[in-house]
Amino acid sequence: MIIIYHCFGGSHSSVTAASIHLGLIPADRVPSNEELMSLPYFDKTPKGDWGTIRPMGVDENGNMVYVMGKKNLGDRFNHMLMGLADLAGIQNDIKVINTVQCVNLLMMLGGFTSRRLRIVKVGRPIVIFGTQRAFFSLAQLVTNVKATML
Amino acid sequence: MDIVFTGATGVHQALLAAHIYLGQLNDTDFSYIKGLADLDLDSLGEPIFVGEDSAGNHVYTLGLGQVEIGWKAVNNFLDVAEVSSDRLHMLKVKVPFENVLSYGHIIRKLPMGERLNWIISKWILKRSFSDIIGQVNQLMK
Repeated sequence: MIIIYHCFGGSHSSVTAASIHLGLIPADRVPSNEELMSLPYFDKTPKGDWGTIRPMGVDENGNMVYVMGKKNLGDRFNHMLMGLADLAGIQNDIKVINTVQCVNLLMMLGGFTSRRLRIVKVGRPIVIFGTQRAFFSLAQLVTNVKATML
Repeated sequence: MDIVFTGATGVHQALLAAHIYLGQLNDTDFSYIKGLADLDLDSLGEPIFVGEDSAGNHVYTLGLGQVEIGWKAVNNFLDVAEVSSDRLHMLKVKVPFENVLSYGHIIRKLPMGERLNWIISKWILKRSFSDIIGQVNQLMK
């Protein structure tokens, strides 16, 4: 199965959710700043990277996990990809998850400052703090995703 | 094979291109094109079935929302999912003022917005009609 977590920029909430899914960070405690920064792509993607599906790894069941930033395409993106998957006859092999529902104001503010304005020194601590605050919400989302795959 | 014509929406130039491809549209009388400029139909973002060509291929349109990001994302997705263009053939149709068409849902909220959206859509599509025919011919080569 192919699992795609997506958010606005593909740098924070989708990366964190994919990392929880893959067990790169434990789901039962809030990760430290260093643990978050050690995740692939976390607060590192360039702003022109929207629309690129990036591999994060393979989970314990052999599912390929990807992340993507889709700007403000919203849930339309889910319908687009699942619609195409349906035409290709692979709808049961694809899972597309929008992580924006877990994003808080601090993540938006910090992400915008770090990724768009390129003021990393200011934005990064804010987005890390925001991600830590949203962490259990993201962990719950991943738990729900995994439950639907059983 | 399924053929998918794409644009910012699936109910403007992509829909005309699909009808041109199917041989159902030769002039700028768009009045009988079902779903043209119907942004409710496009709002879900799912492929819209238009018809079947002489070879039995199903023809669809798909609105990408933001064309460049959407186009990159769907093509990335098809690569990742290993769906070949023999199975699903994606075609991008462009017209000038494409963004104006996709803002139709805002225009519709204005007084007389439904009518205004239709007039603007029709004007842009009429203006671009020969170009859309050229793109369909080019894409199908």
